Amino acid sequence: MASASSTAPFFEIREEELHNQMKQQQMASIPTSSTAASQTTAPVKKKRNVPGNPYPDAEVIALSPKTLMTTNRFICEVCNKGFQREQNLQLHRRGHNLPWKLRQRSTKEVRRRVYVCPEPTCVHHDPSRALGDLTGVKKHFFRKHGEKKWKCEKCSKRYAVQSDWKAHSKTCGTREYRCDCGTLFSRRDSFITHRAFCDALAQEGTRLPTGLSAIGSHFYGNSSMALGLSQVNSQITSLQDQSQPSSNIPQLGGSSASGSHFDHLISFPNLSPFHPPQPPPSSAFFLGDCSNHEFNEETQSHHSYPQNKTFRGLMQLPDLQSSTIASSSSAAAATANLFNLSFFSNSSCTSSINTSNNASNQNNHLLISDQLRNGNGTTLISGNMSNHMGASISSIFSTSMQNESSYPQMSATALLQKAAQMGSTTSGGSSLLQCFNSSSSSGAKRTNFQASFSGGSSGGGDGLRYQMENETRLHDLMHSLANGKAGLIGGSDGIAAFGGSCTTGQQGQESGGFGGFNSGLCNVDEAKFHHNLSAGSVRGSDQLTRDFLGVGDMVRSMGGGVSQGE
Amino acid sequence: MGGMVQDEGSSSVTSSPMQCFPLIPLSPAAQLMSPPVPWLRELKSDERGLCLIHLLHNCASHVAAGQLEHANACLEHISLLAAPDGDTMQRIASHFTEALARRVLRSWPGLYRALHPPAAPGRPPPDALLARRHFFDLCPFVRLAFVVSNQAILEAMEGERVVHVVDLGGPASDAAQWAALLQALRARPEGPPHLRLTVVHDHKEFLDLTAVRLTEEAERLDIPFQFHPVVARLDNLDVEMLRVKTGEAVAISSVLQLHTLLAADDAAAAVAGHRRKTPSPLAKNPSMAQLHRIVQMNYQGTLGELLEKDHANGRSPSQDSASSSSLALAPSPKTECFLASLWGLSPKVMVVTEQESNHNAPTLTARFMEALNFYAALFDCLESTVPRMSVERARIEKMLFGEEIKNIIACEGGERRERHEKLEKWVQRQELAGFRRLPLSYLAMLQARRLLQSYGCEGYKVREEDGCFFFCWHDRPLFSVSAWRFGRF
Repeated sequence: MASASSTAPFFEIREEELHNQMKQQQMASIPTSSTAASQTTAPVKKKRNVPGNPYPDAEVIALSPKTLMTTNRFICEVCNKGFQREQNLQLHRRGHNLPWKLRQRSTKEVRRRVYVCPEPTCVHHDPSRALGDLTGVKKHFFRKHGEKKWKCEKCSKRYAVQSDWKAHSKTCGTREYRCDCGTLFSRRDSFITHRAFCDALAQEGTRLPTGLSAIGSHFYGNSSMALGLSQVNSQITSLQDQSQPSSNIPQLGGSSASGSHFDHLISFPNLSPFHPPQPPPSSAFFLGDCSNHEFNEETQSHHSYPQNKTFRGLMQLPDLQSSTIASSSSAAAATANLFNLSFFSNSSCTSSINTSNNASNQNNHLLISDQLRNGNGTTLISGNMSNHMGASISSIFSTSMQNESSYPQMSATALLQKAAQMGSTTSGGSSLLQCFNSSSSSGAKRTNFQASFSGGSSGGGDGLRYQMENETRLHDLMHSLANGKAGLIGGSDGIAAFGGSCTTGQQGQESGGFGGFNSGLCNVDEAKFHHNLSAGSVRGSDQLTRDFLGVGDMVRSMGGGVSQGE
Repeated sequence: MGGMVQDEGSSSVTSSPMQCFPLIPLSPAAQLMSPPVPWLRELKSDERGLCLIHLLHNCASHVAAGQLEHANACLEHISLLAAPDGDTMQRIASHFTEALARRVLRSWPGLYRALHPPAAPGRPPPDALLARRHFFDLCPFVRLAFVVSNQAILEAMEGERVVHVVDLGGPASDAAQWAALLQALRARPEGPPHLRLTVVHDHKEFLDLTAVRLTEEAERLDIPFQFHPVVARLDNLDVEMLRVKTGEAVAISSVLQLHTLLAADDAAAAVAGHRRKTPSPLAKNPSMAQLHRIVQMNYQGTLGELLEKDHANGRSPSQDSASSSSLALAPSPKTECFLASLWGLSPKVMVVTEQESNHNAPTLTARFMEALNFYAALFDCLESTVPRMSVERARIEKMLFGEEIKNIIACEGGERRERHEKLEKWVQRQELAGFRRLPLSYLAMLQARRLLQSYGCEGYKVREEDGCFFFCWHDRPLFSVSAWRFGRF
């Protein structure tokens, strides 16, 4: 590498250099010139043209371990300074006023060389597997047969080659692994170790309700979705292969029933569904797996994978339910949906049990029911289960979506984003949305018409009185709507009457303002509701207040109307 | 029936964002509530939040338009929903309404002064200091700024024997930063340098306390240490007062402080506008001003250096004129002057931490929106980490965030000191002044991450962009840290 060729006058210097190196190290061979130096190092140099050699006519060079490992091979005899390249040494010699000679670019064709690893047991010891460049063989030798003396201070990983260590140092700690408990990890292995213990903590946490963030619950929602799919998968695979599950599934049931599942988790650390860089497996993937019979051949690994996932998902479900239940009673619907979600998978599982009569599967079933009993009364679950038995995967998805969005409390940032979204989608297709936007974004318009209304209240006095009278009815209506009781029809009647009464009072006054409001409405009922809104906005003394209530009312009553329509 | 409604809810999810207004069962207590709006208080948190945002928008636009009647109606309504001890949005709303109300009230200066007598200029109320303390303890941002700044200083000072650190002070300034730096310098492989610390602060008590604490710490660590207090405000600080000597390696640190300079600019501009039609040649020609300053500050360099510096400064105004047109950086001669004079100290590093939000927009509504979003994220931080009933949290919200909000919303001119601006603006200013960017190191990032890890709250993040760091709450950057070095053109 250092010298591709040497000319005759250069040879003396080379001799000196060789001498130095001999003193310093027991040299097996030195990559020197093809003619002169090859004679001196002839005994160890193998020069073969083996078939399979990438460069059949290349010169095969075997270097001693010491030669490979020295960094500064070219030593100045005056000051013992070492150099990596001969050229540098020559330049250095000039400083000592020693004879120096810079290598000339030779006109002769340089013969390609390949290098073999000096380690006899290594595959690259064989000249047919020689490596194409000196740096390559050096790095190979360091990596495979050398001491790993470069240690990463951050993660204690060791490297034999400095450049590997440097490359690692650049990325070490940049990738983050985040546990649901909020802890960050820079290394994957420590993250996985942590997960094993953190799951245990989460399981204990089911007994004492722990506060989970909205993100956390969303995450669990997702994971339980994946769980449903994977569980179906595991069922199918276990049905397809009746020989294996007896060993696998009981293991799952046993470890979870006892609550000590460390061994299980640790034994499949790579399969953690919570590993951030790996997205949760898609449904297509798993469904594809189900129908794929090839999997049965590799039973051990493929069985353990879905089972592990299933198992972990189950572990976390109780956590989820405790958090949602603890949060507020108004989230009961969301909780119920979550149970549907989780239970859909379970129910499909139980059905498969019925068909297969597999003892080990029943084991699995027992585990599930245990967990459910643990967390919550089963009545709610079973009720909803029957509702959702036939639900498709997409419905699972939507329920989990709902769980996320109807989580009891949103952060202020999220609310602001939501408000911005609502403000920006004025041209959206939904009439509901338009209503809301027209009322929310046109504050000036509204206040104008209110002013005009209060100004011309002498004319509309009747209407005003009407509205005052109807105020209690409006509130009743609101309540009935909000409660979602059966009085919806009566409620809409009331609205119709009310709407009528308010239009008598204010016809012709705010047609402009109302035009905007009504633009998005497409059905009569909604229009009535809308009048209701405007009526609410006009009556009383604090008009703005009423108006804003109107916004809320409208949306509220719209919700009621839609549900009634279905 | 219930099942139907629920089914309905799940299917309408995907179609409309009305989601946030689902049916809510009202408790019987709703009927018992007093008029005018019995069920209003029973709104679910999200609905109330959206309602509040909507009301706040309207209110701000009314205030901006000077429609006080409407603004009053809005405020009346908000007051029914907002609560300083409620959920996040209620808390935010209560502080923003107070700010808006103050702004309205300012149109009657007599009333305003009667209700809010100007605070004694001596020292901030103890509650404000406590609030700072709590903010420092409960939110990681200031600590992060300290850690990253110190790391940048440490790296820039590698191998230096005489180090002069200048802290531009401000309310966020804390002895903890310098105690940490002392320890880091102690641990240097080449041994600690001689450290000289200049702290600029407008309260002498603060400086005295800091001096005692740091001197003790330095003695304990056996580091040669000199403390040099400068009682001054940043807007009337002369770099000469920093007493930077030749041979010192200078580091400058500013934590949430530089933006106060922009207020001085505004005030000066207003005064200038009042007094004379034609601006003074000094103000008109920044290069002249810089030259003056360089001459004034008695720079102990060779003539060549001075000329070179002059040349460098001479180039910046031309960039100024070019950039002010293209990048629309508001002219701020005072800030530019100050930064240029700092540049004149040839600092090896200058670390700037600032709020990452534009609270210096000329219009109230723009400022209001920016502030609402910025402080919403800060309130969210507290919401997720501190219980609602916490006294400390209430204090931070009232005495720190609340005061800043009031300043941003209610004040104008020189009084409006919380003129936070985004990093992009600071980058322009720094580059205009001749600074070159010094990318923050990976080690600094690691330290910041480690610190965040110790907080154990997943919402906080540190993001790196072009060698500058952003401290974020989830995806929203809240604070920026950038490092600069003295550079020649």
